[in-house]
Amino acid sequence: MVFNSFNFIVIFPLLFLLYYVIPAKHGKIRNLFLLVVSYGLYMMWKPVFALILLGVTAISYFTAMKLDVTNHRRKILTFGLIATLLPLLFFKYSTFICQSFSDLLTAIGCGNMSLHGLNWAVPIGISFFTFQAVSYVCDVYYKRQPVEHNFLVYALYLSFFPSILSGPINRASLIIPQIHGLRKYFDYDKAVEGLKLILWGMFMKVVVADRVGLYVDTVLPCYYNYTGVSCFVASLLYTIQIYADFGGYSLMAIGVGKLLGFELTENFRRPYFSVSITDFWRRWHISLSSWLRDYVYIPMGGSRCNKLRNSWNIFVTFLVSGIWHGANWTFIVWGLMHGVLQIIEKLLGWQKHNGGTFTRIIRIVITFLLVNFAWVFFRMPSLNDACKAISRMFDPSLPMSLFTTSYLDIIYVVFGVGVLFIKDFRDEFFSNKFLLFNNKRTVIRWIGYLLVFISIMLTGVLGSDQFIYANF
Amino acid sequence: MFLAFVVVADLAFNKAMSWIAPRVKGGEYGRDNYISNEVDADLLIFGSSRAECHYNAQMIEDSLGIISYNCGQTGHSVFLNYARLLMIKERHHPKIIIYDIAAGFDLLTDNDNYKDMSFLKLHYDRDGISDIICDIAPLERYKMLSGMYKYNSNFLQLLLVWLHPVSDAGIKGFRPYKNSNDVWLTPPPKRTEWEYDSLKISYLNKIIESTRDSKLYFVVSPLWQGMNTEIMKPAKEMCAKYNISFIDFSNDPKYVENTKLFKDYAHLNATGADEFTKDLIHELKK
Repeated sequence: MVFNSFNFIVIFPLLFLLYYVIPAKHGKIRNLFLLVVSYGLYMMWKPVFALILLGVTAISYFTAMKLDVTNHRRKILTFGLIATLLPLLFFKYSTFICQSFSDLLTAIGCGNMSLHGLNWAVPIGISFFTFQAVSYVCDVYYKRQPVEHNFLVYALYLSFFPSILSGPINRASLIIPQIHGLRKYFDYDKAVEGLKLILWGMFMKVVVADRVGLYVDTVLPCYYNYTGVSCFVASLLYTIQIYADFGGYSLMAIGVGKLLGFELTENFRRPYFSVSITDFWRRWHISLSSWLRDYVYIPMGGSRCNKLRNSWNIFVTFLVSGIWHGANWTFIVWGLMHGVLQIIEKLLGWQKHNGGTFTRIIRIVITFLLVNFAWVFFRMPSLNDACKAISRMFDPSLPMSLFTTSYLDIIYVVFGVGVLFIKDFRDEFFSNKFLLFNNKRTVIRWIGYLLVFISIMLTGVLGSDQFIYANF
Repeated sequence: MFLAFVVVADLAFNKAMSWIAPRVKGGEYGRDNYISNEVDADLLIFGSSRAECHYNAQMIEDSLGIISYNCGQTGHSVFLNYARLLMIKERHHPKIIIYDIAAGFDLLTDNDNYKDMSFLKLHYDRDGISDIICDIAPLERYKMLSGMYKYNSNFLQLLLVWLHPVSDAGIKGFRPYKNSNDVWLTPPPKRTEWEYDSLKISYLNKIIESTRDSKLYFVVSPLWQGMNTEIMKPAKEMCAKYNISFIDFSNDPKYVENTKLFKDYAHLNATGADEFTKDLIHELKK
């Protein structure tokens, strides 16, 4: 159930009340309640896929238990990781692998060897809970994390409903101690902080992401009907959309976690103010990039090796990142573009910013444009479409006109994006000034809450009744 | 305390907008107000954008001698058309109704039914409208408790056209696409599979039932690449059952791939609209 759905807004206060009705001394019952709720919400989509979640939980749990007592740790680790990753490979990548293999056979002249994938629905959140399970097994193997003997505690760690759909990818070392009761019965300050995050996350999602998405979803799927300028503007808006969507959702997840007394991993830190691609990955989807760093990049040798090997490590890490994002060559190319750009930065020593304000601004703009360029591959359904859309953006023979609907749509887009930019700009450069949600004066804080709430209600895309009618 | 502030703000906003919205004279909402509250033509045209920009109501009026008005609404489907018909029939019974039927908007699951909400929400308190809204999305009855939600994303337009009314209701509701060289004819691939939307079909039935005292025509206006008429099967069956005229121009050779008459593959330009209206009048006179 997504946080910006009406169902969640109705159901969550009820769950919240029920959760806090359980007395503090019955911490285990509260955890059991959260586990039941997490599985219950997960099963609202396709109940049968809860078995996949349960299966991944059981495999990783017993792998970790076995790692604690066996002398064949490496074999158990290998077996456990393969078994944990198998559902992900099976559901998410089997069709892609079969299709790619089939295309390869056709390309090398083996006729029309058609291999059909499963084309099954992918269990929601499988990439997230699988990576959490892998991180737990690896941490137990490297003795960074004690084995969790309580199956229910471990099951709650993997299925915790605020983060199961879209992350953050939490580490066991962060969550399991909190499940064990090392959190207050009700932490008022944390709950208020959580509500602020939910409010701002909702603004990012429905006022910014969903609003600019109306334009993006009209232009990019039919790029061949629009001018290069329109395609470029749509790509810029998609860059904003994906940040506001994913960043907003992560904030809501963290906020819901805080309301229940949990601290989840920070996921975004104003990524479009990055001065390099390397910097971008320190700010974008932080829980994934740190996962890739700890479980792919560093085990391969990280940066403690020669330059060639280090470049290879970066390349493979971002190949994995691309594959993780989706079963399509577009994601792989997107990941590799980020990997190659980071290798270039590292070789040229550009990953750190040492210049003045002007240089910083230039670097922010260049990084933004590079990231924007890569997002086109992420958004388009195929490499062919991505290349055609990009070539349209640079086609001087096309008219320089911009597709627009009504000036009111532009006002809503400028309002949402403008407010988001001002907020991120303030957080980046004047973090202790012009406070709104954290202002000492109650009146200003409340005016801030009310304005954001009213903006959501009046300018947010709260249903699919808002759309851009593109003449067909 | 915060909730109290929110509730007060919501009530105040609802009160103000409920006063403003029916008084809007210009823009889309002014046209909607006119159709819902004032139109008294004897011949009414309903449908989506293909109705709005294909049927020259003035030409029909001049030829048939019947006061006509085009109630078609771009991007909207059978739900809004039925709602408008209900509101019109509260005060007036049209003699002839032409319904431009578009498969995507009136029969198939292609379009999200929720898209009709933007106009419907403004008439939530009128008889029968809340039922339509709840048929489309049952949870709307709870969401509509909020005044801000009711005017979500349309408050600005309502306010602006209330302050500065700009009439763009066209000529008797008819708003043709201008003739231009910017012809846009990239049609989607010809479809071989489709899925019918039982809710839309039930609302087409409701339109038929509520217009028993009028002469109803179902019309398919021209399409640039023609159409597999099999897709219209449920509509044709309804017409046969209730003895309703079904006039189909979708594969008329005069129009198919006649680029001079089209703005895009689904819409005629102004010249095409006038040509089509003439042909339709000829059919209506039969």
